[in-house]
Amino acid sequence: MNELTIPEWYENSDLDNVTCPPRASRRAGAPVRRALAAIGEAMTKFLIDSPCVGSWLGAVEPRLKVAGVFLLVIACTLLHSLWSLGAMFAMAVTLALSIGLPVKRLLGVWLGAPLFSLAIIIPAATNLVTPGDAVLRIWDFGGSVHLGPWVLPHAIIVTDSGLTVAARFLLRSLDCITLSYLLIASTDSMVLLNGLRRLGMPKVFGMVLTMTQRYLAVMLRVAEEIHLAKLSRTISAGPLRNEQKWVAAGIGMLFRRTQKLAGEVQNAMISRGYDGDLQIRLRAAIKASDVMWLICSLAFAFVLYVFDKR
Amino acid sequence: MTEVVFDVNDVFYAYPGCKPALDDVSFKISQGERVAILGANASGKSTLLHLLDGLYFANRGQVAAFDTVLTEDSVETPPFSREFRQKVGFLFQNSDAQLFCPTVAEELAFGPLQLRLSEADVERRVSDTLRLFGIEHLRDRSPQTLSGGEKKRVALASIITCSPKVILLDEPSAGLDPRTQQWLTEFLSVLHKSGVTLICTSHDLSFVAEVFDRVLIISEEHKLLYDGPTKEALHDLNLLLSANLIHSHEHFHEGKIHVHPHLHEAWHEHEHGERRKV
Repeated sequence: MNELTIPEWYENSDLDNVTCPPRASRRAGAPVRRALAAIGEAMTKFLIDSPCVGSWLGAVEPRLKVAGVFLLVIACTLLHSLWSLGAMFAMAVTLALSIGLPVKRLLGVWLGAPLFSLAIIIPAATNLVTPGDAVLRIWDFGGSVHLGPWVLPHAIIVTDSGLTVAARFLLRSLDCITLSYLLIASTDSMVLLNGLRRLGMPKVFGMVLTMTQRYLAVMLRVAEEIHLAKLSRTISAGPLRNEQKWVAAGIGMLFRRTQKLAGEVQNAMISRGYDGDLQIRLRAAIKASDVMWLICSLAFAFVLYVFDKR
Repeated sequence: MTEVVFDVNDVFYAYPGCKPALDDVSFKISQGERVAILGANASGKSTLLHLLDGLYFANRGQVAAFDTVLTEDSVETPPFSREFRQKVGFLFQNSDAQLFCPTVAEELAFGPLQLRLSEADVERRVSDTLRLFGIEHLRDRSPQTLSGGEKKRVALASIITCSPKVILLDEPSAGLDPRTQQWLTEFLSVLHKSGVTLICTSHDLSFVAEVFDRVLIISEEHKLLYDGPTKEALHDLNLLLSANLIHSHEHFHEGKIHVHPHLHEAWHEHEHGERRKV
């Protein structure tokens, strides 16, 4: 075996002649780091934390709660009038406030809806997709433009019909997202999965969803560990290219580590008898108030649908 | 006649694209035995426990539990799957991986619920186990917020609620403070007295000497090097050295620095061969 000797540079470490970039460079990245940490924390909360479990909606029997929300979401997809969709949105917000869902969280959830819908909303609002009366002229080509086999109009115009289509799409997304989040916020994840399973969701979907939920939580924890490990050895931010290399390597490392840990979690679940059909404790049987929730959901969805068709 | 719990026959196992983790390993374990699996790092100890728990399956040879060969089919097909998962508990090395429920109480209830026990029975088991482990105050805590020792207790408690007849323990004493380690030693002895079979991997020879009667030693070549009484194994210097379980190193006591094979268990009564005064 080699003799263990501490290297000379270790014992006589002299950093006097070493120059580091000024501290400001590290500070410059601080807002980004803080933002990333906040996103990580929010995602962890979103995955693990159900803040309104103790609310009246949290007390509704999970199968009936899932069924009620499902009815409302289906109604959303059938509604056309902006007024009906607006009414559904108002109802969802009222529900959220009544169960004490923090407004900050709700805003965070809503922020995602337009962001992911932009790719559909923007073309849909213009005469490229939806013809109609001009509301706003965005670009004038001064003549017809050929784009491969397609001929573009003389100008790109936001149309009144386009705006209606975009607004309908956005409102429908917001309605569905808010209703789904109400369900998540008021139901423990395991109870929710159990409720879905009891409503006939195939066993394999239950298993995949359970594992995905666990996997994401594990991945966030590992990502944080990798980030902190790097931070503890970082004096100042390096060149952008090096940082990019580090991010790429970090993603690979994250994938390998989370895959291993997620495998361990899965083994631990199987070892204790999990066979894809998650069994959990349902604390109460179906009560009159649970049935009332389902009836109210059904009635509201029906009234809006009838109003919408008139 | 004592029931054979595990019958491992000429087992070969290699992870996909890797060198063998276990090669030609055979042994039997009977009900009520206390068996420690010893070996250097990466010798295949944990892999062997995974094979015994029906989480991995042998590439060659076979592992039988309670007279049934463990295959993907057999461990997923009722009634054996349910019976097997109830009879065999596995304490994983990484408690964080094992604890995946929102609260300690739900963690303890997870196993019995998967076994489809009644609500009243589950609650009774959870309450009794919390009391037995002295962790009633942790009932509604999230497992992620617990200390290392508390996590280990909760992980073990989550297995106990399934009332297993066999417990597989992967490095249970690693990272525990002395008091928790002593508690673990005592608890395992109590389990043994009630007829539970204990199978454990460990590097901690003093822990093994205290709790286990029989030792399986896996060599660095992933073969079974020794199968016999713990006492004999721990007094066979050459065996322990060849399995990389002890090593010669310089250490200090009785005012002297000297070199000899070092095991912190009964090995301090020795002739001081090479020595020098400080």
